[in-house]
Amino acid sequence: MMKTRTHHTGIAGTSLLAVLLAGLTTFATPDAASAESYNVDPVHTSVYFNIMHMDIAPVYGRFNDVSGSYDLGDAPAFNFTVQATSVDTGNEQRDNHLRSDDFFNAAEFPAIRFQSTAVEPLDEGEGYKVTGDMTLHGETREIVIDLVKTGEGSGNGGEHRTGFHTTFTLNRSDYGMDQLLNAVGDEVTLMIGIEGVRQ
Amino acid sequence: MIDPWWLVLGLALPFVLGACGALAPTRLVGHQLGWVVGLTVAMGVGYVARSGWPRMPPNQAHQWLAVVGLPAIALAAVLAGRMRLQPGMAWVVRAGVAVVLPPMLLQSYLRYHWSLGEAAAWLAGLSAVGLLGWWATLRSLRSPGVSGGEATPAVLGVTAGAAAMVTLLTYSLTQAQWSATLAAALLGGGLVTLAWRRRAGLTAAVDVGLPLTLAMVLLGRLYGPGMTNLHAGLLVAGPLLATVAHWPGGRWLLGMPGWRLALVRVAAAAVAAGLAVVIAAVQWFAAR
Repeated sequence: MMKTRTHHTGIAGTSLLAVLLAGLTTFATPDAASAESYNVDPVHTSVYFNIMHMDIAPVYGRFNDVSGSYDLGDAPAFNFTVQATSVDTGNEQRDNHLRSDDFFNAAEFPAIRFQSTAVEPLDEGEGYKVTGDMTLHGETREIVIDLVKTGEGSGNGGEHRTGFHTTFTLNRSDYGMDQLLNAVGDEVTLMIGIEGVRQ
Repeated sequence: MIDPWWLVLGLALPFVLGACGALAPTRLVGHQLGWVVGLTVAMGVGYVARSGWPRMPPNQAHQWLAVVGLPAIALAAVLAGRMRLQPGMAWVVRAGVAVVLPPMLLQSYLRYHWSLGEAAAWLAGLSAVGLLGWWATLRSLRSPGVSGGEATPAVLGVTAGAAAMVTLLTYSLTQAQWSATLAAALLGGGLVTLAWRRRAGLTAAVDVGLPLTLAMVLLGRLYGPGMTNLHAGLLVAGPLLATVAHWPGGRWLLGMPGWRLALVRVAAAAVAAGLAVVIAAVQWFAAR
């Protein structure tokens, strides 16, 4: 369509038309294709984990910097990013050690990412069985998580929000985080609550 | 926390390998090869003892150093040693190491943390400091008579040992233990060198030991979250301070007996390195 018109309008007309069409497209896109697109609300999204200390007791921690987006439309998709340097276990020395190359190596691998590759409805309850690529410590592994829908509704500003929760475990050694396994367990349990704001 | 096997393979064996490298008969292995093989094998064994076989292809700075950097430094040292009669060419080889090593270890900073200008400034600065230290250290070996140049491996060993302590106190056991391996190898060779007054192959000891020591400080600074520029600066200052006898105001030191000048050189490096350790220790205790 645009190519046909530009053929008749010359260079100046082409530019003006392209700008107008681009503007129209920008306005049209949210209603048509991204109506079910959500941005993660970092204030109401929590990423917690626990891991055994010397097979004695679990230690809990969280990541304070979470971002991402998801789409609940015809082709559901989920993308989340956690900044490794935001790890917080309530002890600054331990957090610094976790950021070092003994563990997350946050300087070399600043982002922990999850990107869905296949999404299907849960067999029971509302939510999704999400298959995706988990990238941690520079290694990418496929994992499957059950993302259980916890609710939806309007926020204080009238914006539409949806919420999900998931719990899953992974072995840090699968991602090359294999240092000090005698002191800090291999299996990590993640507990994640996500709230997104529709765009 | 520390595997007893590492004490054997990561500390004791590198110490012995360093000593054997320094004592290797030059008639059989040449002037460079003893030191080059001793230090390189010690570092390789120490790395595997601490971190296991490195991932292939490497994706962390210490893996790059183990897989590519270490053999490259060893090869460059052998090449530079064979170019003794062409010092200009030997410096081209050393400059190659000084230029290639920093970006290899700083890949993630180039990718995630620095703008182009920052990267250019850091890389140029690190290469320049590395080459300056290299030049000053080698120059300090070429003194008339017994100059205390035999102290150089011990100076580097003290610096690597302090880097290990600082890195440990600033939360990276991986880097700390590998630095400790380097320190053990350098001190093994360094003590033998001092005790037997061996000067053979000292250039090779510097050609391998200095870039590795600086690389350890760099890794600790960049990937150990607690090491600051102050710690790193003091550690790097150690080998430079050890060349004090060759500074304009310090030439009177060259008149000292060799053993006394050797002591001065080690002490000068130890003061800077010790200060870095003390500062790191104070910060560590304050944070508890």
